[in-house]
Amino acid sequence: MINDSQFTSEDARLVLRCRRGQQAAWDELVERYQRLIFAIPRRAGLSEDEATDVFQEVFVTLVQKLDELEQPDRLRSWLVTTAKFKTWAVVRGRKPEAEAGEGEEHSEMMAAIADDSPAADEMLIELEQQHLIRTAVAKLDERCRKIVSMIYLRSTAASYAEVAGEIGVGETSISPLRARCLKKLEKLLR
Amino acid sequence: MNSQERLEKIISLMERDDSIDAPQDTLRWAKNLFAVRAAEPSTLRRWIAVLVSELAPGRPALGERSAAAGKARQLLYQAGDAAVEVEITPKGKSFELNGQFLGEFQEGSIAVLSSEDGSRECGLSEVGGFAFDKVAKGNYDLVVRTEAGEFAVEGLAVG
Repeated sequence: MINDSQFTSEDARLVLRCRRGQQAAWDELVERYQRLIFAIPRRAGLSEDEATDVFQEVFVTLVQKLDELEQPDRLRSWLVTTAKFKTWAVVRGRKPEAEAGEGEEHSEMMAAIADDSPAADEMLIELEQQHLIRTAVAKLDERCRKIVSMIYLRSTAASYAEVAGEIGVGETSISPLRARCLKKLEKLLR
Repeated sequence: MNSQERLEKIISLMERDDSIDAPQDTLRWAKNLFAVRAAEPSTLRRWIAVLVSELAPGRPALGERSAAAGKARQLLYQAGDAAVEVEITPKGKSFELNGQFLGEFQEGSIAVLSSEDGSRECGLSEVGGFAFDKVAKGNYDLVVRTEAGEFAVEGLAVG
């Protein structure tokens, strides 16, 4: 559904810049992937502390393996797989407690992300697609970024009046602006 | 999937996106991880470039008519099998430093210009070009970093 070729080549460039010791590239890489990596254990039902542990382990592993990544353009897949296995390790380590204390639904959720079943794959695919969309939103001009983020990426969507106030235009302008911004976003992901 | 269908799918994915940022202190911790790596001793080879020719401003380059000679100071450095061409041109109160790395390099190679006041970097273009604007008068180290190693022009005087 989403063409990720421009993002994968950006990833490859980031990895190469990191290999050359550029802190700025590492910061960009961490910023780019932090939500996705944190979301994987959280979506599996791990607590914030456990998700933080997984997150830290993933980035420690990455910094150690930076020079060994054979396909820097596949950084996203590498990060997702690493986060998945580290999440799995936590789930397996505490499974009896989780099953006893947190109910069937919770166990299913954890199992779904931590195994190789189609449900787990679908969940990860959705997380990756959401990550790509957020990356594309970050590439929009400032006005479009605000409009799309406020309307679609907040837990509670902002009203047109709020968006209009934020970007300093009349409320009636928001609908056509929103449509144009979505078109730009769709083009970035084509 | 046509454009409209793709757009609807994108909107639906955004609306279902309940991910949140990692805690700020964890994020800072992850960024700081890199400092440990940077502190490890580098295994890169380093070549110190030596000046092989310098053309002062106003003097024509070989094969150039004198009228065409500009305000730029042109320098050529050699390091191992590679060379670095540097051109320093006054621009108002500061200088523009343009150059080209003449040697093997890969995508992601960079040029770093540093002085006591800090450092700036830029990626090499497809032909090995690099450019720094608003360079203040002073002494600089210019380093080109490639997969093979570092090519360093030390003590480059600007101005």
